[in-house]
Amino acid sequence: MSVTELFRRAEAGDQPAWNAIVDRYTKLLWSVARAHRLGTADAADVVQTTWLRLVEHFGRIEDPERLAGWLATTARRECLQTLRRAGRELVGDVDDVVLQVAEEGPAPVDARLLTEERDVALWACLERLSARCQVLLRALMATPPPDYVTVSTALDMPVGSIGPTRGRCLNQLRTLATGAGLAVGTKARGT
Amino acid sequence: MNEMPDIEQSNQALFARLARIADEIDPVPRLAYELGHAAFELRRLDSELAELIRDSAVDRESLAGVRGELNVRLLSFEAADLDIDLQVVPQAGRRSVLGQVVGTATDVRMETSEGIVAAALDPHGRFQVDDVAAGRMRLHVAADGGVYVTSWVTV
Repeated sequence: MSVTELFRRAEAGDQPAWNAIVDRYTKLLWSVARAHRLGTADAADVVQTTWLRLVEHFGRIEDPERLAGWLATTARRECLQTLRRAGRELVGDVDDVVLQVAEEGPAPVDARLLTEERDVALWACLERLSARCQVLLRALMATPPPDYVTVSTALDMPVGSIGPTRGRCLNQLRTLATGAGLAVGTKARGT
Repeated sequence: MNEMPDIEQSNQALFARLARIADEIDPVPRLAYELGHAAFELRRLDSELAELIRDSAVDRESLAGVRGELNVRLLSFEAADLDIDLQVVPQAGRRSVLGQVVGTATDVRMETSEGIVAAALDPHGRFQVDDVAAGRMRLHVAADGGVYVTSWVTV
């Protein structure tokens, strides 16, 4: 069912249609919150607030086909407010936000949950990338993968810069990983 | 060497791997889905939204006037024929809310995590609610023009 149809049904009071929307986009919202380096409790709060905002905007969303962008933008705004409320003075764009809160970011990875130590090591490399890279890569990791327009709205980055920035960030990650003795070669690995 | 296509291909492989790791180490908590589903029960049924249009905690310009020793937060909501202004002050870990309804309100109720309380309106549309729980809050306002509910705000 198209998102527009789901949304129209939800507006008309259909809880299963609403649940389907929540199930489809919660991961995107989680990625946006994590991209802003919020801890688990704050990230969950941002996700919940975003759903409450959508509910209160029933009857006011003109183009439900672009719901992902609306949700991502709303989540980003809530992230920034959460960071502000926490008393972190913000100047400028998301880079500064992230740099200032990086030390208080999500709890360290629990290695026991991982199947492969190399994955832990690779993730540690990711966490050494610039704030800009971490934010972008994290946002792009949502499944289903958000399109660049949605990411552009969510992170307030020009659409045209997303592809090239992603490429640069992955290259930096590859350099770090190679330095850490991890094989992430320039050739695609067999699947 | 065919380097260009290889790079994009290996970027995609690396990215897929990162996404898989993210899924494993940072899965979305089940609770996030449940709270999302539950949000539906808080939808407006027969009321109009009075939308948050100004928040001194967000809007730097409006902060200039009140920044100082006082930790006052100003919020403004707007509906078709009703405006609501709030002044929120911390009070021993909780909040004190001073409000003014511009319009013809007859009843104001405040909803928080602790429930809904009625606020006494004076003849000028002003009201005050003390000992408000910190966290999510919204107002329900009955007016001549209908029933309104504000956007949720976290105070």
